[in-house]
Amino acid sequence: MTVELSRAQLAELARLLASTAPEEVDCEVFHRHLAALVERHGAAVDTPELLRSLRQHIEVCPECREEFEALLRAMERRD
Amino acid sequence: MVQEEPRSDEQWLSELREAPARAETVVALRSYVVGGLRRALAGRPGVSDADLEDFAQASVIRILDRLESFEGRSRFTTWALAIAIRVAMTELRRRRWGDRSLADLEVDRPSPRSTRAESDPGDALVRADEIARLERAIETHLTPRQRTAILAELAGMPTAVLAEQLGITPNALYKLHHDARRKLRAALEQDQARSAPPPSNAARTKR
Repeated sequence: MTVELSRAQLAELARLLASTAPEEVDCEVFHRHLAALVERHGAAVDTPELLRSLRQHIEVCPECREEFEALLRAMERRD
Repeated sequence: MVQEEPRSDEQWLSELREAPARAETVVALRSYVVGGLRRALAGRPGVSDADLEDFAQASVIRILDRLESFEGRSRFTTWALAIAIRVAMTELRRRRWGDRSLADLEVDRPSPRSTRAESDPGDALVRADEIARLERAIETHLTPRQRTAILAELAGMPTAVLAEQLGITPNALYKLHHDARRKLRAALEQDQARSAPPPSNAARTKR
């Protein structure tokens, strides 16, 4: 038995592969920095290398991207 | 009208750590979390007020459990809301996915029929030869477990559910997924290098 991947899924996989880096931070590290990343709107978080790694993680992890966008939305709509 | 000053991070922490202010501060935290989740999840179908209250309840317990891990990289309230969003999103993903298992996905390898014409946004992005190369790489370069990680995620299976079903931590699953992506990328690059035309003599001698 096989699973059928649509072209959209294969396109998503191609996108994921294009964004894949030799070294990546995992979801736990990303989450540790998520609040600071959102507060500073992508300004320097500790080091440029870390900021690059966090942004790269968003490209390859749809769940963390979803949470980043949700937190951004919650903070922007405050007041 | 006198407006109450917002609590500082230190106030939140000290009041949540000990009585007598604790009960009142927990209520304030819960209220902040409900408001934050309402904004974060605005427009999402199937999220009721009762859901927001339930998510907030579970989130406050998680936040109190992790209080000592707050490192001050951000404001306390932003940190707390990040935890709450993870709690809520994890539950919503589980709900959306239902009780389907890996066996229901029949994860094995992509069907040749996946190359059929479709009118979706992916059409413009992936050419037929690239699809064939990708399918070949999935079949030949990945271990069964790596294939499962890749295919289940593409099918939309939540990380928490997949990690549970594989009996590994979410971080171990991330590593499995990362290793699979690196292998596929390397395989595709090798494949592309092999199929690229050799440089012409003129190009080789050009200074």
